[in-house]
Amino acid sequence: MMITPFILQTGFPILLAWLAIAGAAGACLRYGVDHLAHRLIPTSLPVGILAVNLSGALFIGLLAGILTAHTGTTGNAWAGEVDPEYHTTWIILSVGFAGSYTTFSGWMVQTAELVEAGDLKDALLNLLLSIVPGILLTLAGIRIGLRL
Amino acid sequence: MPKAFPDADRWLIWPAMALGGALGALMRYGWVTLFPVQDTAFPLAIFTENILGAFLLGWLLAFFIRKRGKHRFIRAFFGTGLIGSFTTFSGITLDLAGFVQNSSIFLPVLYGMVSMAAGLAAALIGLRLGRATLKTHQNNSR
Repeated sequence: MMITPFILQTGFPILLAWLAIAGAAGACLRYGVDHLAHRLIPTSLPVGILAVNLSGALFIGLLAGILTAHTGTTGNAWAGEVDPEYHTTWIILSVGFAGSYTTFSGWMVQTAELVEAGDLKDALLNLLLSIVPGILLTLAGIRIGLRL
Repeated sequence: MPKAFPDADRWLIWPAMALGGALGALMRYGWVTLFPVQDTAFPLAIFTENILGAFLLGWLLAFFIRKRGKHRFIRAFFGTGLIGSFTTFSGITLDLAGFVQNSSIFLPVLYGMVSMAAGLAAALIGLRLGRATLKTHQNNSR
């Protein structure tokens, strides 16, 4: 039997439309949360993108956990192991929404600006405060999601 | 901006960001789906797009330096929208979580460190090149 290439499958244009909507929502929400965090928390650190990336890390973990729960597999909840039935939902919300909401470029440019300003302590703090809690929040999200 | 809408600047950046964000998400999906090297242990697709994005955003924000007028829309569409959405952080933590769940420690530490080091270098180079381009541009238009 011939397998239809994914681009020619009937749902593909609809998937692209949903990805675009999710991406637009992610970018706008990022801007909103970024500004809100800066207004609420006065600090020299770029706390807005930090809040965005950490909340996004928790979200993607929860999503992976929730969408994997139904398969009853080992709980190896990440990209390849989500319940096939929820694959499209997963792509839209993880690649489309969470991927656009969180950002790497903004995080890096803000860290680079701290380095250029000679503020090496804040630069290092900005790296570590994102990556270490980020991975822990994703792991925690998966664990919690699997139980929901 | 027409003078009849003095506040237009403030709300018109939202559609610019939304449009850029939609394009950025589609580009990332295309990049990850069509990336030539699949099935490697190292998430090369997300890594390369993130480093490329860090460089481009550095260049963009250093070249389009003003926070008002036309620059504001270019920064909102290309910066916050397109490049901001094209690059991702949750994709990194998800891959890292996958490594950790497969009880490997070496790969997540390597991936995290290499991503941050390369991303920071790319952003610094982008910022500097952007400033250099701006200087050349200003000299030429004088």
